[in-house]
Amino acid sequence: IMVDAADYQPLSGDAPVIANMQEFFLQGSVLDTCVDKIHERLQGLCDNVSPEAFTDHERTYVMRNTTSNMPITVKACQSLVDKSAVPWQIKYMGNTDVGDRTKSAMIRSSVSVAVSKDPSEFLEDLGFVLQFEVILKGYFYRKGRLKITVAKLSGSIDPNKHEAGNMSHLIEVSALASPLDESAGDEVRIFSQFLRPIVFLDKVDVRRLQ
Amino acid sequence: MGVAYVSPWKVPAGQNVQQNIEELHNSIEQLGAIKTGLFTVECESYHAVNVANSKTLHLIHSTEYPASRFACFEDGPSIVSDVMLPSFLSKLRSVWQPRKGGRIESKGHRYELGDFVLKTGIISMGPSTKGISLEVEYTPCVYPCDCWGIITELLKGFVGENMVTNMPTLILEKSKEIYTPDITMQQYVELFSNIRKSNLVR
Repeated sequence: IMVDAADYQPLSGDAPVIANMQEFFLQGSVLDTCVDKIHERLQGLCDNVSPEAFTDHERTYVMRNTTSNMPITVKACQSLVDKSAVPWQIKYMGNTDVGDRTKSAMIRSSVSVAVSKDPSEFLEDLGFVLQFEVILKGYFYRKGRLKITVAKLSGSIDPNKHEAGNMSHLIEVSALASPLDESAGDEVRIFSQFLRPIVFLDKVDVRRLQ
Repeated sequence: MGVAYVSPWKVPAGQNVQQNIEELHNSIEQLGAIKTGLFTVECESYHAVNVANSKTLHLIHSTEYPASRFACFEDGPSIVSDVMLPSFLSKLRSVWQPRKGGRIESKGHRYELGDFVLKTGIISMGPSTKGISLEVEYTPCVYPCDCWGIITELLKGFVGENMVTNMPTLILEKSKEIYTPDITMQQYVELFSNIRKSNLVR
């Protein structure tokens, strides 16, 4: 999803600044039949601007040959709607920390870089391998620093190619903040509660997905 | 933004870099150029630690394009990005790490002479000075094939008749296409690589 990263700090020219931004987020899904209710509620709760439609082609790359034995995941994202206005983005996604019960949201480290062209060759030379790709089509809402997306995932751009079993939309509420800022996680959880009972957004135990 | 040619400036044997660059500044100022500030082009090199014969990745930061970063592999793909690229690379530090002694920069003065922008920089690796770089940019034109003549004419004006006027390969490959700043950065990378190689020989 195309979002401007918060306040760029121009590099001082010395050692690179390690911007340790963390993404606090919760996810859930709704059946397509109920998605209009979500849109209505979000229009009421969110900032007073029209929701932005987006269609993103997102490719997920993985690098496995690391000294720490943890695979590194990076997503390359391109907007299919307005290619001239929105640049390609590469987004590093750290491992998701589900945290203990005291943490309100899932946390992962996140670095987004806007790039001038399709980064596939560049990523492949860095040692990344394409794992999978999806098309995300939906709407993007904002409330202060919260970012809410309601999107349908599909495996191909062709609208006629119907995918069996995919009858729901993915909802994600997230906020970018420094890892010390616990209030971001609370904000995400409190907002998510306003979406009940249409959708219950919660932490997802990624280990169960493996 | 126009077409830029980056070349090393040969410091005659026996002269030191400081004197030589002063002379160069004098020649440029005599042509009527006005000093408009300072510039820096820095290059940090990375390599993959657990891969044999890893490709080198160069990350360039130029004050002329402060909101951008340029990354290029040696003989490989290049990409232009925003300022977050070094942070992104630092997340890959379990694989990609800066090369020891890999930082090299060219730092100096920026001049404007009519439609030209001239940059004279002292190239240094850490505390040691390695040479001088000269960048000549002809701003109104974006096709190298159309303005190569005027760039070399200006250079001859203060270098002398015996200067090399062949288009470097990097520009020649795309001389009929619109010139982009990443070609300038690749020229700096080539210049810096040559300096590193000559450094090893000594």
